Amino acid sequence: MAPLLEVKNLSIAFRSFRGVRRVVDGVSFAIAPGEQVGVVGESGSGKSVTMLAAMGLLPGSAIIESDGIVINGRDLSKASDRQWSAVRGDDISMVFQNPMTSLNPSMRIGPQVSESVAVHRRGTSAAELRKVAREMLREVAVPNPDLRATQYPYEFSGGMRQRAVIAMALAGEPAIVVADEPTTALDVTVQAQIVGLMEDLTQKRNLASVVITHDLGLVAEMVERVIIMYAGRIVEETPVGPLFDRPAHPYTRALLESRPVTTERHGRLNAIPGLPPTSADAVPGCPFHPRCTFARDREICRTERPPLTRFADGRASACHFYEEVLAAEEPRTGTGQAAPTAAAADGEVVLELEDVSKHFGKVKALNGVSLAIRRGETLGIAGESGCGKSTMARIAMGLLKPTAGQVRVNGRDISQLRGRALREARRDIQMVFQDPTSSLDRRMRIRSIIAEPMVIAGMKRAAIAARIEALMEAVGLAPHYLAAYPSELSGGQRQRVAIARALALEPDVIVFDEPTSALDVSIQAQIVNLLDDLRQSANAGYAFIAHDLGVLRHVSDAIAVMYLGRIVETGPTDALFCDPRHPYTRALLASAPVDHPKHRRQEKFVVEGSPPDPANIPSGCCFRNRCPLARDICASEEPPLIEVGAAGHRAACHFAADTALLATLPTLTITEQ
Amino acid sequence: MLRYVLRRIGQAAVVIFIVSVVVFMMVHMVPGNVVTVLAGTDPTPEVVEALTKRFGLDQPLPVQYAKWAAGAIQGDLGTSPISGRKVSELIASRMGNTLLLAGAAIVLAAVFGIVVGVVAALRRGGWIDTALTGLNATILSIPNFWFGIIMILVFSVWLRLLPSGGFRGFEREGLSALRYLVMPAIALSMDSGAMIARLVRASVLDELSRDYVTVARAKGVRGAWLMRKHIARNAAIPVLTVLGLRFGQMLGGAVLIESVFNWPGLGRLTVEAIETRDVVVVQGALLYFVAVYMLINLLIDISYGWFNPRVRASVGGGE
Repeated sequence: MAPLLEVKNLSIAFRSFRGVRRVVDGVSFAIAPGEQVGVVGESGSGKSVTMLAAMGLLPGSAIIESDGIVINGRDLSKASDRQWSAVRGDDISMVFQNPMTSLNPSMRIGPQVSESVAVHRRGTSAAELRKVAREMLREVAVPNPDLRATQYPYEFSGGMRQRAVIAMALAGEPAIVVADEPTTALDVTVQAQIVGLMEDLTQKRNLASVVITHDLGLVAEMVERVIIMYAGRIVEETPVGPLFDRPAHPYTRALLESRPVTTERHGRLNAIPGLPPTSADAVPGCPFHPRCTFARDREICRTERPPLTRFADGRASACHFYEEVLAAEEPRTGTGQAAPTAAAADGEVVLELEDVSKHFGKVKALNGVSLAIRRGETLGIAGESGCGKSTMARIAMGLLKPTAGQVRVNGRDISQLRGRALREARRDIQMVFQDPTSSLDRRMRIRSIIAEPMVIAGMKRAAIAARIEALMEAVGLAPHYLAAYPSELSGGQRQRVAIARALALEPDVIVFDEPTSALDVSIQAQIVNLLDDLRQSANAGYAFIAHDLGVLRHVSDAIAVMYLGRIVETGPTDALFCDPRHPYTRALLASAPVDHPKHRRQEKFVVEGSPPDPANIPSGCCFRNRCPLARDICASEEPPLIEVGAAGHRAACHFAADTALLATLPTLTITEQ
Repeated sequence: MLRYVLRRIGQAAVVIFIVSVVVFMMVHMVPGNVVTVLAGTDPTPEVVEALTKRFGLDQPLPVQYAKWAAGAIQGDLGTSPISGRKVSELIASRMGNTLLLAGAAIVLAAVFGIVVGVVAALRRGGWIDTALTGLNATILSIPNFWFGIIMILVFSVWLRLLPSGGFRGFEREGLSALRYLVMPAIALSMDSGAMIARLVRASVLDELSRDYVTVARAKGVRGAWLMRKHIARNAAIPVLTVLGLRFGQMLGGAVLIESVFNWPGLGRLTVEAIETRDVVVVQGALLYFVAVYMLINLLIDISYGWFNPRVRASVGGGE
């Protein structure tokens, strides 16, 4: 069958005041009708740029060269924007990453959904367009489509918006849809809904799809064939089956091995050393050779660019030694045993929240949360948007005053402190934020950024200088970066600086708010390993807020699962992952992308809807309106957090002790295919 | 929505009250008043006393203010001791002229600004963009009245195409009275037009980089459709704000242009009143300017709702 989309020898460069930088070099691929293909790579790999070029959406500053971009048999490589517009939305369409920004805020949902029909079939009547919008919304399972079509984007939740975006992409009945990180910006339970929806739709409409992602778990669930990109080139092409067991390129292998997974726990992640190159031409020879375990000192890897070699049906690798890579044993995530978690049990409590509530008017952000973190312990905090995890972090930091309850740092209640006393108490608790680009002042040099808390604390100059040196070593940064500005550092390096700043005053508690979620997979593993080192050496307690369950399982001694401002389940990490007692925890675990295609679940457990509005919390159990087990008692009585199973394992569910009933909800317990 | 409007009107009333007190105090703190003007160069104490009494200036300030404010609420801003005419009539007689001038100028500024701004944004980085941006910077760095004087020199003195000033209204001259409007309106619109153009350019560029514009392009939307449905409405919000503020200023502050072109508007009325120390007229005119400015601001705020559905809902739902 003739391919729907064929890209031949595509190269892309960007013109800027610094000169011309090549980001894609000689990429060729074809997508057949009805085929599901994943394009995987880290930021800067050229995966999104390649697909934008395949839709004619790159800005004028891009220099695009190719031997053809063929869609439905028409070569559009020399097409004008007018010619491209005739194809876009009609033959090929796109779903973008962030549903919060991809809808026009001042236009009703209906007209946005039917717009591609309005553009391509001029003269379609208004009534007909309304019908298209309604039917599309119904098809993507937006409830009450008649009403919803007349609403504006702000009236939609994140998950509903992404459904509308998908409806929009499919309204023009394209043969191929490009989805750029379609679930990355969504909550875990909503992600699972969207993945399911996309699978249903592609099957029902016999659509071809290209899923651009950094998430190998998503690839394992959604696609048949995978294209792996690195430094603007395709390094491997393979059906999804052999990818996870017998990768043919060292980079693919390294990516697989560096992931934290939800099913197992290891001592360390196999992080890929170094950084990806900044342009397609930055590294001579094989672009991956400086980070490659197979290259060792081989001359050819340094000097000769490996061609993409086809070696089996549908498989190709751009490695000089791909046979060696194929022959290597199965890739393993992580090495060594997990550090013993019992060590922390006898440390003294450094952070304690007792019955803390925080209400902003009608919005009940936090309701009676109690937790304790001991010195040397890491408490992982899991939950979706609106569950109150960030409010809790800010209360623990003394940045917000709780409406009720006590916050004790080292036994002292900081919620009553003011002014100078509060400032001094804050030294004992520090925070590392999600996005190091915005948490570091871009006009300050690294030296001043790390020194700032020490200067405020009144430390002597010489002491500060010595401490900065020690901190830089502890976070693995070379001293020459001290004179640099944040913009000269990579994302991972910036996060190291943020961690060094948090460590500067030797705090007793460090709160990490999604510290790795803005980073690429290979960099994430480096930071997770760094945090692991700190856990061993720095003598503090850690709160680790994250939505990635793999990362949480890897770093946490204990986990607290939050929902609508409450802790619904808490306990030692392994107990919680292996024997979850709250339906919401089970739903979270069941929704996480699988680690391996052999783990494709036989039975799906996807909770409907998204968390309710914290201004309007249901009576009784807060999860009851999404819970498949809900009975009358759940509406009338709020379940207390009761002890179940292992020591310290508690869950707030009326059925937490009824393991037979809970077992009807599939969770991480995986059936091998 | 009604509650929102009522609340905004209430806020405006408070501001007008405060401003009225300030205006009243300021005008009364300036040395010299009507009496010194009317009584001539060497008045007898009796004359001064009689005049002081006649204008109520012997009474305590709060009483004077209360009388004035009570009248103002009923639309009576007092009577000019110089011309003997009611201030409200004086303002009414000039209001139409100022509105005409300001209205024409704001339309010119909007048309110039939107056309130049959109073209510059769409040709970003090209020579057209560079030329238009340079033109805007030049206009912004030269005061409006200078353009007025140069236009008089060129079109009235040299080319004798247009009258150099004055305006006698449509009643007397019919549509040909518009010839008097051309130059003052253009002169008054210059800096506003340039400023709007810069704002429109930035606003459109901002919109062009939005995800939903890329999404729309991915649906096959382009050209005028893209501009109309996805860019114009969202880009309009900041532009509308500045347009409104500028219009409010023009309605009161076209003093220089009205003087250059001898335009019988409120600006000239105020200047004349200041020259003759006609306190009553100055007070009345200032209060009127503030009220108009507040009204325009109110209208802008209400119009946000039309452009931003979220504002509309949050104010319509009655918080």
